[in-house]
Amino acid sequence: MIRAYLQSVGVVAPGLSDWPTCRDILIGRQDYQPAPIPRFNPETLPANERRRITPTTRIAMQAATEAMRGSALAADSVATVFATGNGDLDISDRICHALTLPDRPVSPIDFHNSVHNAPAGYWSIGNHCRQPSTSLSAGDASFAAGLLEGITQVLSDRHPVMLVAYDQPPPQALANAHTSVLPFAAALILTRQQGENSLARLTLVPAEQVASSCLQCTALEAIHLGSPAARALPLLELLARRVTAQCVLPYLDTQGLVVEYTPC
Amino acid sequence: MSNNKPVLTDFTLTNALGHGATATLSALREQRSGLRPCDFDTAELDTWIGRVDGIEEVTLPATLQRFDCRNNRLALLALEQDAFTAAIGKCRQRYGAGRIGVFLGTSTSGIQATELAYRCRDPDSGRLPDWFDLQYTHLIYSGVDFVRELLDIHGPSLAISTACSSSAKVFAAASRHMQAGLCDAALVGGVDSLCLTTLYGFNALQLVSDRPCRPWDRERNGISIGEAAGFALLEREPAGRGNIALLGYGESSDAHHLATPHPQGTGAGLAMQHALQMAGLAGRDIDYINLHGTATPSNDASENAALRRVFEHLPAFSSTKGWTGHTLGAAGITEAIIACQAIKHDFVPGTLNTTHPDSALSEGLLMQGRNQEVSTVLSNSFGFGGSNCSLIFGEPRL
Repeated sequence: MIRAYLQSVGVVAPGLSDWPTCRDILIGRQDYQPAPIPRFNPETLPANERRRITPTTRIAMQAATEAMRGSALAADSVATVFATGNGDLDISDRICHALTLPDRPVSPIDFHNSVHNAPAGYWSIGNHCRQPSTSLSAGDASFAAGLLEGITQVLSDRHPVMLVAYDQPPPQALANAHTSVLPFAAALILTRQQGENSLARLTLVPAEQVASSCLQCTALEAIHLGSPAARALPLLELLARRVTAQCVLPYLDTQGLVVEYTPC
Repeated sequence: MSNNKPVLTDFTLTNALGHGATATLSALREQRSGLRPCDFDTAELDTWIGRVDGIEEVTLPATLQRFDCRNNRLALLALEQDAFTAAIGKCRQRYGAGRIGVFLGTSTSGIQATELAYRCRDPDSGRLPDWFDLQYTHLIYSGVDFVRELLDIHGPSLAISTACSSSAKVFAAASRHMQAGLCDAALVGGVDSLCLTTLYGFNALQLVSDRPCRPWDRERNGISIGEAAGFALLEREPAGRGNIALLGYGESSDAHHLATPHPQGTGAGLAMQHALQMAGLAGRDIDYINLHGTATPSNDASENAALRRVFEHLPAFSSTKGWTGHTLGAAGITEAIIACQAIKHDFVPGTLNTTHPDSALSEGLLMQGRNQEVSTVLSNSFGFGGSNCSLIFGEPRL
């Protein structure tokens, strides 16, 4: 069992432009209307970097920016954990295609954006943040694995951590039964101690043979099951409802990650 | 405090120098490089590579065929050396499969499978061939998934992909998971295999050398790309049994540029300082530094600036990239194991291929290996995206 405090969140998905919208839909105050995600331009990035970022990095930075603005912390003081199931498959598609052409013209920008820590790198550049940053994946368990990594950092290394989970659907050639079907990103800022701005206490216990939670808000179930990153939604639903309760997030093999949620 | 540090109870390493960790140690002693002119796949590049012989002949178990790709074959090849799987078996008996975590780093995972699949696309529909399985080969988690199934271990697991710091950072993640009580032991490591993506990608960035890489040399002009797989077993053991412990880790971000290190090495310096702090050591307590030392003009200059800031007097230091090539996502584990060998055998490696150390960089680069007492080693790994990780290994102090 490990424990930390949630201070702030950010969300982006089709029809979910930010956390307040997502929250209102989750508690039934507003109907869900699917809509494309407007293009987000991170103002913190220099213009040349802003032009280079991919749609995958864009949604990750959008959720991160919202979470950071909603917190009482300085962006350059918060370590980051970026979690994704799929990574940036648009780039793999372009590079692997270029490698089939004469002279194999791999774009230098595609190549430097192809590292899985590109979203983390752009975030650190835009926010002058020299704190530690980890980019990880654990397949369908990526959100839960990111949450465990984030909270173990908060506990061991005693710095606040922002977990950013993100996934984009792949280009058609790479789509299969396991890949994302809808874009989603969520960011959660985690701290070791309870503070004035804490929203909730999270207690995590991995458990064998437990079924993952469904959403009570059935309108968002397609998004919830549409990518590894969106498996964050049952936890966000507890935050929206402000109740003491628990949810189970998909973890490895037949395990689930039980999250006990206690509002502050 | 040292008594609570995770201890490396076993390790194995396969790279261009050979299969098994002893092959690396012998080559380091004999000044024998693993680099050769590029003969990988259909690459037509004027560069040298560190290719592992025998990967093509590796066969995955019948039940795990879906994982078949160069990266997972290399993982299997490495796991079969040094009686490492037997050590894992003992560990499983001791703790239970669910109490051993798996934390592996990679930069490109099995992307080579995707490269091959794109060559066989249906010209009309654009469909990829039926044999291609993105999930079990290409995706970053593929290697961890494969190793968990292969070795039947089921504790908390994740794949870290932060370019060339990936398999250094796994030590930090595993250590934290153990400290939080989520697992009792951890299999850490890294696997990165040759692919056209990295060969042509680094070439597009003009970062590959046309000669065997020459770290710290005034004529250095880029990296030689290599492939490697390495694994280590971390356990909490009492100190004083001749084991080597992870005394400290330090992680930081450059916040500077995606593909160029900070010119003053600010982030790299922070990583080293944090590692020293956690280990409770001062610069003078380090006996040997294994540099990131990639042999690009900018990496070596940046790392040098960072070293100058952190160390008043530099201990013995060298880069081993001239032997193995830059194994990217496997560089962290490769050099962590070299660090442990330095401690175990009281031997510090030199710097292969370098003939004229750059006078703009710190003096004292070890050119030739030598026997000397080594009890504490700092190993640096810095990656694209400005991701830095420094590790300190040493004999646990009682």
